[in-house]
Amino acid sequence: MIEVQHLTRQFGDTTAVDDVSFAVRPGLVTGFLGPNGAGKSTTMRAILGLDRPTSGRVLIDGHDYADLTAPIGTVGALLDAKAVDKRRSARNHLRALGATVGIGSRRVDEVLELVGLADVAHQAAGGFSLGMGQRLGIAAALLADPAIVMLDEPANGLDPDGILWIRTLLRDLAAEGRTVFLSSHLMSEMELTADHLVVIGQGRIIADLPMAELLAGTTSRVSVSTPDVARLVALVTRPGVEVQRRGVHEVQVTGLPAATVGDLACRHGLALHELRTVSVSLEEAYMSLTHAAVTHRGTTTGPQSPVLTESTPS
Amino acid sequence: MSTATVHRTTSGLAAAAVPRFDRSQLRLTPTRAVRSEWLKLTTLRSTWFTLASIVVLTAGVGVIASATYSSSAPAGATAAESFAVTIGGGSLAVLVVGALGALVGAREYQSGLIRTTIAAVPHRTTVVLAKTAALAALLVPAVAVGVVTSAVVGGTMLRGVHVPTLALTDPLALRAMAGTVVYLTGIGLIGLAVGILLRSVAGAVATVIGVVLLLPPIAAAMLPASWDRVLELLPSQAGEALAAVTAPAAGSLSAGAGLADFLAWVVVALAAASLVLSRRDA
Repeated sequence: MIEVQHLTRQFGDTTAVDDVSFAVRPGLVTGFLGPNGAGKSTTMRAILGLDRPTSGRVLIDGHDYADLTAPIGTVGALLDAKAVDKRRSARNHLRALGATVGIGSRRVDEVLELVGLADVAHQAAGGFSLGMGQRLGIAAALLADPAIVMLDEPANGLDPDGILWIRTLLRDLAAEGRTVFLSSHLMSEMELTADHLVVIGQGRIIADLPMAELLAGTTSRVSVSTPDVARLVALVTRPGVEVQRRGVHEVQVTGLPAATVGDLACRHGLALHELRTVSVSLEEAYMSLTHAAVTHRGTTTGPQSPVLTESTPS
Repeated sequence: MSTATVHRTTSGLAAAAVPRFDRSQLRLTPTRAVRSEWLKLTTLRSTWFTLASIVVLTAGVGVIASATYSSSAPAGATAAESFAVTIGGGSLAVLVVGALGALVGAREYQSGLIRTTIAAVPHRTTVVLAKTAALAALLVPAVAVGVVTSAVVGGTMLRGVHVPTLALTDPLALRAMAGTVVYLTGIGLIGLAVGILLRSVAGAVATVIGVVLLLPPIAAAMLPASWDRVLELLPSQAGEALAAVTAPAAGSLSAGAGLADFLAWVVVALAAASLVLSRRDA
């Protein structure tokens, strides 16, 4: 269990993290989602006691990180896969890390086997590919069998096979009752892995909710293709309905079910070439969340929503 | 990575997730922090190359100086003066020791490994002390082997041509050899502290060699004599006094005062490194 309480961190005049509070619970994969620069890494560094908060605090199973009897046995973290000495072998890197809590070579070899690096255990880490480096970082995080696993952008640099591997691994870790916390700036990554989402934008928590709830809270749209777009727009336009032009012959209608759109067109003799319901992807839900937050705060920097930028006034 | 490895791992995962083991014995202790730093040092080939060069420089320079001295010793040379020649290699090896210390201190900042280190050992003073202990545990024997070798070989050469020198067990000889070990090890630790403070290998090496070791003698030569009492308190000068065999020249520190002054420098440097490491973000 990680509890972040009113965490604020300023760097000079910049507030990287602004009064952030959330909890990461055991047995779930919690995704920490936000655009680059939103404050994800700053928050994660504060969780590990690396950065001093300007105010607020973080509790790990009710304790300050610095008071943990076996730090790497409680929180296994991967913040930066490149943070290894290039001249030291993978195995020796893990031996040195494990030595802090009395872990010996046998466990090191076991974990190297787990992440698929047993064959290159004696090679210098500097020669590793991005994906191998990422696996070494994950090995370091899992070395002391921690109850809490925290990974910053774990899919970075992994090939599709590796991404599938890490997804399975994280699901298994959560199923074993561990607290799994991972960050990403890609919603598509989270969609398949996370049970719960904490969304951060410009240093503030925008959303903290179960994945299912995020999906349920979004409305679906109807995509319609017709040779006479202007007539269709006239037919469906009414209070509570939003029409977005997607192309010369295509519009997206929000606020009406596909059946209603089809019936309307039929009654007025309008030809339809396509009529389908588009379920909102998590990516779009996330975009609209962060976009709303950015707009609300009256700034122009931040993620652009591809959906909203294409809309035309109706 | 071979595709075969990936597939084997993926399928292995499906069968059994992370192998469990008894976590109840896991505990961070200062001794284990030292062990971790020891492993970090001893698993880098460059550490062994550098230690070897410290031994070779200390012993080699002493032996070469003894060879020259054995044919050119002034008629009235005392045993203490001759002994000082045999163990003189330390004055050169100290440059390598300082560079090694700076490298050890700054190296983890190059890669960002320092964050992993601090996450594993959150009390940052413990990190500094563990690095100190591990580095000292390597430097003390290396310097000791170098200085004793040069004293034995150089002494044999001098006695062969009937130039008087101190016996290895002479209290003055023992004190000078021990002083050399303390001086070099201490400079290594000051280098470590400077490395942690500056976080840059190049900057730390340049600072230790340039400012700590080379600047004081240059300053002594250039500044008026009234500055000498200040300059002799600098770590390099105090260290030289500590390693001296012969009675101190008028106005320079005695070996005892040199020891106290020098150790104070080492402690202050390491305390500053601990303080700064504790205050700033990792």
